[in-house]
Amino acid sequence: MHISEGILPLTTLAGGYAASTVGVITGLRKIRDEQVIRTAMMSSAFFVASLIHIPLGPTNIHLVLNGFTGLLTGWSCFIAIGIALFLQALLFQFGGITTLGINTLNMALPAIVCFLVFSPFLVNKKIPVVLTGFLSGFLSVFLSSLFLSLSLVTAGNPFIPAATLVFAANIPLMFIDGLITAFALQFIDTVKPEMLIP
Amino acid sequence: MFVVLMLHMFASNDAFAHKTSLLCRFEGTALHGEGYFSGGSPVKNGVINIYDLKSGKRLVSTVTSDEGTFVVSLENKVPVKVVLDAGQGHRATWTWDGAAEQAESAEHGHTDAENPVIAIGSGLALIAVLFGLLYLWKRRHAA
Repeated sequence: MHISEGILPLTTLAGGYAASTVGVITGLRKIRDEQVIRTAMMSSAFFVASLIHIPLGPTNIHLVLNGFTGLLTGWSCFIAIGIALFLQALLFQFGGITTLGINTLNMALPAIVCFLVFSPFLVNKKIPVVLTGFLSGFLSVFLSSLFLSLSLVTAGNPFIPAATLVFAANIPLMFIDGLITAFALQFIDTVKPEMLIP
Repeated sequence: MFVVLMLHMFASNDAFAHKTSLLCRFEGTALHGEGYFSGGSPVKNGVINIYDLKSGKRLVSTVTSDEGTFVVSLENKVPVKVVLDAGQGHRATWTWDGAAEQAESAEHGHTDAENPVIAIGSGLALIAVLFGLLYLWKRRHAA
C-alpha cells in the first residue's frame, strides 16, 4: 500500500505533498488537547498494523486500518497517518520520503471520507456500530487502493498493469480491514462508547 | 536521537537523481519484471541477473526489452535476488525471501530492519515524543 521512491513523476509527488500539507495544517488547527493522546494511539496502531502480515494464498497482505483511524481521530488523521508513514519510511523503508506526501494523501483522504460519512452514524446509531465499522474499513481500503492505483498510472502506461495488480491484490484486504474495524468499533462501543463521539 | 535519525535519513537519500528501480512479480514459476528510471522511462537492454537467495548461485541472466520488461521461467519458485544493471553505475535490486508479500513488492522493494523489535519500539517512542511536542505546542498557543 506504499509507493516507493523513484516511481512517480514530480507533479504527482508535489501534488501529494501540497494536499497532505493542507490536511495536516487542518488537522493541527482542529485537534483539541484531549484528542492528542487518542491521535497518538491511532498513529501507533496504524504504524504497527502495517507490520502485521496476513498470509493469503501465495501472497501476504498487511492491515491498513485507516478507516478506523479516521473514525476515531477525524481531521487529525492526517497527522496520525503522516507521522506513522514517516516513521515507516525511516525505520523500515516502507514507502519513502519523496512519496510521503502522496502516500499520506492516499491513506488519509479515505480516512477523512469515512469520518465524514460514517461518524454521524456512530452517534445516532441509525446503523449498527458493527456495520458502520465494516463499511468504514471496506470503503477506506477500497478508496486507498483506488488512489494508489491512480497514482501509479500517473507514472505512465507501463505502470497500468502494476496499478491493476495492486488494486486486485487489495480486494481481500477490504473485507479483512472491514471485519477488524467492525469488531474494534463494537468493542469500543461496549466498553467506552464516549470514544466514538467525534 | 531524533536529530541523528534526521541526519541519517537525509544522508541516505542524497542520490535520488537518476535513480533506477526494479519491479518484479511471480506468476507461477515465471518471474516478470521491469526496470525504470526516476520519472518512469524504461531501462532498455539492462542486464538482469537472478541469484538464488540462499546459495548465492546465479540462476539465469537476461536483458530488458525496449519497454524495460523481462520474463524468465525458473525451474522452481525459490527465494531470489534480482539485480538490474542499467549501466553507468545504475543498479537496482529486488529480493523475494519466500515470505515477503508479492503485491507489495510490485510497488516498492523495502528492506527489513535489522532488529524489527527495536525498530518498532523506536517508532512507538518517536510517536510518543512527537505527539508530546504537539501537545506542548498546542498548550503554549492556547495560553
